[in-house]
Amino acid sequence: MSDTLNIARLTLLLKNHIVEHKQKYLYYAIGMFFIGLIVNVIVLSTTTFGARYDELINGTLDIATTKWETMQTVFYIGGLYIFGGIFSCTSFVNFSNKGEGIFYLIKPASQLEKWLTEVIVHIFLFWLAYTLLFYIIDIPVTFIIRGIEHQDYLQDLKVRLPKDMIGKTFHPSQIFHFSNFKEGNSVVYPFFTSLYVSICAYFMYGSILFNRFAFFKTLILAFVTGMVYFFYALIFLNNKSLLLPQNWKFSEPKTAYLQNEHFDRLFEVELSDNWLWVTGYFLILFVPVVLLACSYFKLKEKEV
Amino acid sequence: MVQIQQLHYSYKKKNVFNGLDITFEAGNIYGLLGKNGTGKSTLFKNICGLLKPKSGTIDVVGYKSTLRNPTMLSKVFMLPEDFFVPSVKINDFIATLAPFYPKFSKTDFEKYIAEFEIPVSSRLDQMSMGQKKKALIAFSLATNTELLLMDEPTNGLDIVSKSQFKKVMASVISPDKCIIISTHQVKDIENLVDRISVIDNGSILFNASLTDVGKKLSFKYSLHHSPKEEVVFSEETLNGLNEVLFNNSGEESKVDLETLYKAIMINPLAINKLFK
Repeated sequence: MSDTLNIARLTLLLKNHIVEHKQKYLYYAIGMFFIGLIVNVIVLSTTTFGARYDELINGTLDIATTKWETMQTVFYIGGLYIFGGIFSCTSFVNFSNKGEGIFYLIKPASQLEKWLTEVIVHIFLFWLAYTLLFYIIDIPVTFIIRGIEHQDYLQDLKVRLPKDMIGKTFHPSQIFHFSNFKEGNSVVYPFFTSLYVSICAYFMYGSILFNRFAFFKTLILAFVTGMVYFFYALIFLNNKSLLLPQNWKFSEPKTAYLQNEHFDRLFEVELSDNWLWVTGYFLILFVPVVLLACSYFKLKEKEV
Repeated sequence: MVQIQQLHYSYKKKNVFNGLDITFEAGNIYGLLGKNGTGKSTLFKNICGLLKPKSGTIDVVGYKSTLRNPTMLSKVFMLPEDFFVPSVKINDFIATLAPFYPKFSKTDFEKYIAEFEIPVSSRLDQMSMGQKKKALIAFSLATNTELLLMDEPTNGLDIVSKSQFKKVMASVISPDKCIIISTHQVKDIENLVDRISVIDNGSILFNASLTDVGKKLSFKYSLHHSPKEEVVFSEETLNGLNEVLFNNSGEESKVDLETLYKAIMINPLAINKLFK
C-alpha cells in the first residue's frame, strides 16, 4: 500500500469527508437553491422577454441567442464563481478550531490524499452539484419564459409562430446548448474552466492560510493584491519611459512592441502576433496549478 | 515505541523543550505529569507530527513523526484535551472512520460504549460534553492502536464516569500497546499507570516505574514527624503529615501518586539521586 497515494484510502477519505460534512453541504445547497430561485423570480417579474419584430419577420430569430440565453450564461458563470469561491473557502475550515484541526490531521491518510479530497469535493463535486441545482431551477424557469415569449408574440405582434419554431422553443436541448462556450472563440471554454479552478484554488489557499474569517481575509488579500497591481500598472506601465532606454518608446497600438525610431525597421523588436494567446494559454494552465500547489504545500506544513 | 532525542521546540515567544530525551516502551501505561503550561500537550502534538520540532528526532512506531505517514497515523491515536466530534451518529462515525484503523474492533467498541452507558442512536454533536468524551475514549480504545495518547481524558467527566474510565482502562493494556495519559489530576490515574514521567522546564524531571518507586520510597501518613534523615518530602495537612520516606524495609510500598508528584516538584534532586 503506497504511503503517498492509495486509491482505496482516498475513496475511504472521500466517503468519510462527505458523511462528516453532509449536513453542512445540504444547508449550503439549500441556500444556493433559494438564492437562485429568488434571483430567477426577480428576473421573471422585472424583465420583458421576447424577440424583436424584425427578427421574426426576417426569419432570423434564434432561440439560442435571445435575452434569456445570455442571462442564463451570466447566471451560471457568475453563480458558479461566487458560490464556488465561498464554498472553497470552507475547504480547510477544520483549522479554525484546534480540536477539529487535530482530528483532521491525525486521520490516517497522506497529505496528498487529504488535499485531493478537498480538491475533488470543493472544486469538482461542487461543480457537478451546482450544475444540477442550476438546471433544477433553470429548466422550469426557461419553460415559463419560453411561454411568455410566445404569449408576447401572439398578443403584441398578432403573429402565429410556425409550428416547428414552437417545437424548437420547448425542446430541452436548447436549454443545455451553451453555444457561447462550445462554439465561437475556442479560448473561452478553457479560460472559463481555468478561471473557475483558479478562483476555487485561491480561496482554498486562503482557507488554509487564515484560520478565522478566511473568506473575508482572502477577499481583502485579493483586493490589496489588485490595488498593488493597479498602482503598479498606473505608475510604471503608463509611464513607460521609466522602463526604456533613452530615445526608445512603446509603439501603440501594438501591445508589447519596442522599437527605436532612429533605426531602420529591421531593428524592430516585435513579438509574435499570437503572443497574447500563447501567454493566455500558458496562464490558463499555470495559474490554477500554482494556486492549487500553494494550498498543498501549505497543508503539508500546517501545524495545530 | 516512541523515541525522542534532543527535542527542541518553541512557540513564537515561549521556549517549551530544551533537548528533551525520553523513550516510551510498549506494554506500559505512562502517566505524564507536569504543571500547567509545561508542554504535555505540546509533547503529544510533536509525537503525532502535528507540530514540527526546531531540532531533534522523534521516532514513532518506526516512523519519523513529522512526515505524518499514514501507516504511522494508523498505529497512533490521540485524544486531545480540546477534542472535536463531527455531527454524525455513532454508527456513521464508526462506519467511515474505523476502516482507517486496521485493528479496530467493533466488539470492543460496543463493550466500552455499554460500559460508559452512551446512547448509540444519538448524534455525537448533540451529546453532553461528558458523553462526547466517553464516546471518543471508547473509540480510541477500540482502535487498538499501538500507541494511544490521552490528553486530560478525565477532564469534564463526573465521579461515576471517572470510575468507569478507570475500570475500562485497566482492561485494555497488552504487551504490544503503549498508552500515555497526560493529566494534572493525579488522583484520576492512581492505580492505573505503571510508569510516571514528569516534565518541568522543558525537560524530563523524573521518569521511573511505580514498582521502582515503591521499592525505593515509602509513603506514610502520620501525626508526628519522622526522623529528618529518613524524610524525602513532608507536607502538613489538616489532620496530620504526609511524608515520603526512603524505603529501607526491602518491601514494595504502595505509591501515593499525588504525594510523589509533590515530592518530585519540591525536592527533585533528592528523588532523582535515588533513581539514578
